[in-house]
Amino acid sequence: MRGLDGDLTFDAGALTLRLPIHVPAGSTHVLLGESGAGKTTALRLLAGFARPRAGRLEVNGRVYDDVAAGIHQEPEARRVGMVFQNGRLFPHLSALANVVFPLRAQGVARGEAAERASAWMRRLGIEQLADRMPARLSGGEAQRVALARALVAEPDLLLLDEPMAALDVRTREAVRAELAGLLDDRRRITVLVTHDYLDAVVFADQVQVLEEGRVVQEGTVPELVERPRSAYVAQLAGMNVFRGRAEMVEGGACEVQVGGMRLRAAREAQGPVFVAVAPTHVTLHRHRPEGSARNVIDGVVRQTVPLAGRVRVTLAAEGGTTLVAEVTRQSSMELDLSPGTAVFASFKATEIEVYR
Amino acid sequence: MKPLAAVLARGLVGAAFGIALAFLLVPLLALVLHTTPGDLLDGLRSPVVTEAIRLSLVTTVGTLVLTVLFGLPAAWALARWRVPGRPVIEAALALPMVLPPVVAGVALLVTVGANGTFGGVLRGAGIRLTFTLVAVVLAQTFVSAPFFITSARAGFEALDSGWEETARSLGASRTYAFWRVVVPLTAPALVAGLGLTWARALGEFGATITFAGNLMGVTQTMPLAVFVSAESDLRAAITLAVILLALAFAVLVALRSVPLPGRAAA
Repeated sequence: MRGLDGDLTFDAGALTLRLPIHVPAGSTHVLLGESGAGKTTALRLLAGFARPRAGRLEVNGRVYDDVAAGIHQEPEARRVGMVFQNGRLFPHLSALANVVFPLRAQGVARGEAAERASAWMRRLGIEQLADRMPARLSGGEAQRVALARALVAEPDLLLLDEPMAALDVRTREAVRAELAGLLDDRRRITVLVTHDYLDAVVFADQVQVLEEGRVVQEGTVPELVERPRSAYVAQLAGMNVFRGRAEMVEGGACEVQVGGMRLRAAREAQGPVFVAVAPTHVTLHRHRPEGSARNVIDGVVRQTVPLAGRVRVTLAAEGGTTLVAEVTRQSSMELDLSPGTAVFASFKATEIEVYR
Repeated sequence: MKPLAAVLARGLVGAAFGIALAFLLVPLLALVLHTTPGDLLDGLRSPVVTEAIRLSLVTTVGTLVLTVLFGLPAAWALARWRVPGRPVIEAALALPMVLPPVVAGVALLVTVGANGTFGGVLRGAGIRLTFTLVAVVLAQTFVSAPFFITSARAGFEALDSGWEETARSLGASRTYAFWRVVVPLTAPALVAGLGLTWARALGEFGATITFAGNLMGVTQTMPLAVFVSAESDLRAAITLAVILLALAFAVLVALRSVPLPGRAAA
């Protein structure tokens, strides 16, 4: 079988990580989550640094872990390449010597190792850095060298631990674009761990969202954005998401009880559900608006953030919930919004997404 | 501000510093001033002196080899393993540094000496340690190896274990990672430890004379030769003393100035 297939359980102190993961060969899998969600632990499990309490892991037909059968392959026995957050280039070795390292470690002869390392550095456009010591590389250069080092031994599985996090914004864009091109290899399996939504957007074929050691959502980026199942993803996607209880009402609609609010949605649903409203669908008023198909919530402006041509307004709404609205700059000026302003927020029943 | 008090305090500190420096350096200076280059060259012709120098170099190198061979794994285990009873083990390892060297010599005698605990076993195997070059190396190692182990252990402990993991994630075995990553990155601590061990071994007297004896050309190292000559041939004693002084000084200066990979990285 080509690809990665695993289901691992690991106890990390108070946190229990449960990771069912399937990645077809040639695709990039992103583990998305806040710090402390268990992302790095997940990567350490895949790399072999941590021993799972239960489960199995197989990559391209090789069994890396099988707790029931007592199998655990050490990291060096796995065909893995890893790029760490801050590069972790060996400070006592030149850039080229760093890239040569994995080949020499696996017994490739000196001359051949140097040739193969140089070829990879050329491929990444960093051959001019060969003699530089890591202390004299910029963040972006160091990450490129680290990437060459991870790829030089042609691993089956490439593991990337927040590879963009330590870079400044501009470098990040450049490296991200380059990396996206490189990851497009039909044979390799890539698992990338990040808290940066853009990484998922650019790289991911499939995303798993981790929260407190559990996979809370799985899918492509558009799927996640449309129907977030956690406050974290909702925030990343810029969506308002509430958990509530739906009751059917006549006319193929439902009413969802969210905290103290009752929201009307133009679709059938019953029982516990998620309710999502895009901020651009929320309009703000100084006076209570009229109209039967509208949901109206009163709230108080907490924060206004100017964006290009628009303003993002965060409201403290009824029942202790938070609601985000995006209005045009003009209407923000007309409404004279500032922290403390009491407003009414409204959105149409047809603009609410209800899902389980 | 009390400028007078400040000046006074500064003066006191300066005076104390000057006295400490003088106390430590004047006797050494006197030693050097007590000799002339001619005397030194004459001293170097005496067989007592040349034999002692040869013996000291051979035995201290032997001590270094033995120390690294056993001390490096020991330091690693202490730094990275969960060792039960760690405080006791650490205290025991520091003991030879604290004990009077004569006590170390006696301890070795009652262990592997002719009448010691393992003396019979060794005699049965046809091995006699006392009054041999091996005994000198054992005595030196006993008192000086802890310096290396302590320094190396501190170096290993200070090294982020992430470096080994990085190496292993790139396909390096633990052994390869140790030699190619851990050792270069802890080189300053390892070299410093070796320097201290070598200096301590070079100056070793009490344990050596107690356990190995004082045979010229076999166990009479430089410090022993200085001690013996001080009564019979003061010129030879001073020659050896000055050479010891110069060697120790050179090692200490070298330790403080050699550029090392780990230093450049930091």
